[in-house]
Amino acid sequence: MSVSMQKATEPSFSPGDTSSQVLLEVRSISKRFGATQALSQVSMVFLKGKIHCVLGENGAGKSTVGKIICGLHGADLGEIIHDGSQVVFDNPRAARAAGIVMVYQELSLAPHLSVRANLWLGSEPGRSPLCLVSRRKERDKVALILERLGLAHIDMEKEVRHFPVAVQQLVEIGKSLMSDPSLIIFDEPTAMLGAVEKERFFAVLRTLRDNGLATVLVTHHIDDVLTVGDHVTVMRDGRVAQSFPVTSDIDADHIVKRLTGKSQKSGRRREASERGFPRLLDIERMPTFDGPRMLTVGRGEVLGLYGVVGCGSETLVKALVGLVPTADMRPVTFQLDGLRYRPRDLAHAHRLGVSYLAAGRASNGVLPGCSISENLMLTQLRSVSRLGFINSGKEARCADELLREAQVKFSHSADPITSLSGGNQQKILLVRAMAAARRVLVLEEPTAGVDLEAKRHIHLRIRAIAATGIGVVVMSSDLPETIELCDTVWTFSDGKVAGIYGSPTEEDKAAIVADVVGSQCLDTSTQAIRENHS
Amino acid sequence: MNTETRPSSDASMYAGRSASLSLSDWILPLFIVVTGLIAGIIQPQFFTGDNMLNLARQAVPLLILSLGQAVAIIRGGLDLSLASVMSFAGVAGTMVMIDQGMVMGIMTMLIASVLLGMVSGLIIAWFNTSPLVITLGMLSVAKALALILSGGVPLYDVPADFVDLIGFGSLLGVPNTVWIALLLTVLVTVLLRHTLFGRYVYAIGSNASAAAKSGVNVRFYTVLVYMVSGFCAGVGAVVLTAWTSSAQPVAAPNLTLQSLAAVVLGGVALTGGAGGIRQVFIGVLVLTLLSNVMNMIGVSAYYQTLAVGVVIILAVILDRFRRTDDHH
Repeated sequence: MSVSMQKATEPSFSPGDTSSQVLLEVRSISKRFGATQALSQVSMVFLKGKIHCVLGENGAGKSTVGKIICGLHGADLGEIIHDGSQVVFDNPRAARAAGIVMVYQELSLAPHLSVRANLWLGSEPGRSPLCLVSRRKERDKVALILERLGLAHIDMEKEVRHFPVAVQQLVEIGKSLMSDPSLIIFDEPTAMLGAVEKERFFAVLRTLRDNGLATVLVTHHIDDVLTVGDHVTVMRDGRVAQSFPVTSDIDADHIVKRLTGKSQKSGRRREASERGFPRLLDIERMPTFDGPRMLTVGRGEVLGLYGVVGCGSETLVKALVGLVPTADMRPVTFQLDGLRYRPRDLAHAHRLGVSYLAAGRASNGVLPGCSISENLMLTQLRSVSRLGFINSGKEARCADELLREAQVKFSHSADPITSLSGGNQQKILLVRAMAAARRVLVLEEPTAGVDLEAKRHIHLRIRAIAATGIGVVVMSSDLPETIELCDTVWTFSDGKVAGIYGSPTEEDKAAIVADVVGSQCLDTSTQAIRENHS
Repeated sequence: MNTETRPSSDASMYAGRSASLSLSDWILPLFIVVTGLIAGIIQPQFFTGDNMLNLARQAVPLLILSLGQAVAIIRGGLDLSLASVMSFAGVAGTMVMIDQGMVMGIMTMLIASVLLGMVSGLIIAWFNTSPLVITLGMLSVAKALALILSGGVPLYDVPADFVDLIGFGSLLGVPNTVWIALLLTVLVTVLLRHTLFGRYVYAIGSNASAAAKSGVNVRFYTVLVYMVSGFCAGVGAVVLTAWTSSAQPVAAPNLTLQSLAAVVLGGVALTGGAGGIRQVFIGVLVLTLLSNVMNMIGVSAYYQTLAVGVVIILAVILDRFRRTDDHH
């Protein structure tokens, strides 16, 4: 680990790279979204024929850089230099015309159209609606692109929706190749890919590089960087932390150190929390890096699940609350209070005492047309109604009591919930979920988009409900929050539990990040599980 | 993963071809044949050339409106104003025709309905509103305009040359109305399957935000879609005024819902993005055949309505089964 770090602090390259190879450069870019400073003073250089990785944790600002370059967002400050001259792209179309495209993580394919039609969508030569679309002419270019993607064997006339997601992802990439770009930005492309598809994607990436394209890989997997990266920029809290070429002497630990500012090997490891909890929920045969084993959530325990998108923690949460059939989790089974727990759907899980607060306040939580009390009482109507008729006096009393407990500032409980601030809306939803929790409370992003004061208050409420003997499972992409709030943290990677941290502290942060971002770093955590298990 | 590389048969570019028990591929054609055979056994005159022509003629208005409905549905919406736009166009066009002659009259019918469709389309596209509500509003607006214009009285003095040429003329033994409907069918098929317009309509219906991200002007094509459905209503006006030699301010109000039924019956998904004119054609054929046969056998009107309803509901349930099989 004795790599020199001097030149790495600035986004420049060794003198061997001539400036003529620079395709695009961003200089001192800053961007604010509301109260969050997403980027400050970010500079990067992208070279022709190189794979440039941008690495960072959730919320480090790495995707924002890509979105600014491809014209989706404008930068508040700073400039973009393309082929030697300063440019401003007002929208993605302008960027595309200049040869810069971005491939998003979420697919933008029309599922009912054939692969061929999808690839051509928006790139058709004609502009008039009555232009005839010539299947024969379209085929040649599609065949060429499919070949570059290693998909030469698929039937291009088949509808896209009949293909597996990994193929669809490659088709999505193929779409960006239609305009013959010179710079492609991939936003978390490997999140949804399995090992084989990942290899195929990397092969495609290398082909593109060898054809002289500049490619930018926005990722949070250190493995990706080590496998295909020529150069890596590490981002932390909206700033460029480090930028250096990926040479053969760079290894995962080295990058983790630069990512978190600490070596993952620091800190001691405990699997069990210092406080003992009585058993509440057993998760049997849960896959871990040490093979399947039984994991337990205790009564009164606050358990944090931490991982990147697609790492497996969402699946566990969804199975737990009945959103996906528990059969999908096979061979994993749940035991709740010593009884087999197999929720058929959300309502069933609810009846069994498992309450759920979904992420996405606007789309999954708030009933915008309804009042504060109606929103709050949604889970409580059974207790204030008889034979299907709601006792409105009782309802109002119950609502006021809950609201007072929640310390929400409001003028009248019949006011629309939309009259509250985001933080207070979140408190209402939290109270709603808590009031329904009899055994387990599952919270997804409980403090997303709320201010510090509300966050502190929500944390207090979560601790308070745990103290009553309810098991709380928190899935948050906010690592400091997870560490501060939880008694135990499970890290997830590749569908498995990568590490277990009892009474986590700041010291564990590096190891937790290492668990989540790269498999090479797992030696220590697996070790920990093994030691504690035996 | 499918590894076959043979050139596809052109009929299935957009239609789902994976299902072996597709409604429009199998069950409905079978239903048509069986119904025809039973009708032929009970009532031998079913198979006479006269009845076949009659059947074709009966199918014309429904087929024409169903084509417009299909385009709107594939785009991921629907058009509830078809019949009332058609009535308005018929009234307005007939008034012009009485004054200015046949050509001007026909032009008026087509232009008036395209304009009304354009208004619906503009509102739907620019305010990003639900096609259901906007076309429902347009249904009332067009109906009111037709009633105001005609004073609530049907116009019976439709020029004779128009009635003779379009309503009762024929070419090679086939009525001209049937030719017009077939021509429009071919036109819409080509439009949907071979033009940029068609590809974008399917793309928007399949995933509007993906289409927008790919650079498709979703608003513009939405307006075009409702202009096309309006145009079909205009052609319907031409055919219906000529055939009935009258312009009714409220002509065939059931036709809108029937067109919806025909399109869904054929297996075009209400969610948009899927289905083709072949399916629409079969759906129209089934509904028309059903009413023709029941008329011939002497089933009462009440039971006819019941039978049509049951067939539509059964068809949609069957289709749902097929779809769930498709997705496991």
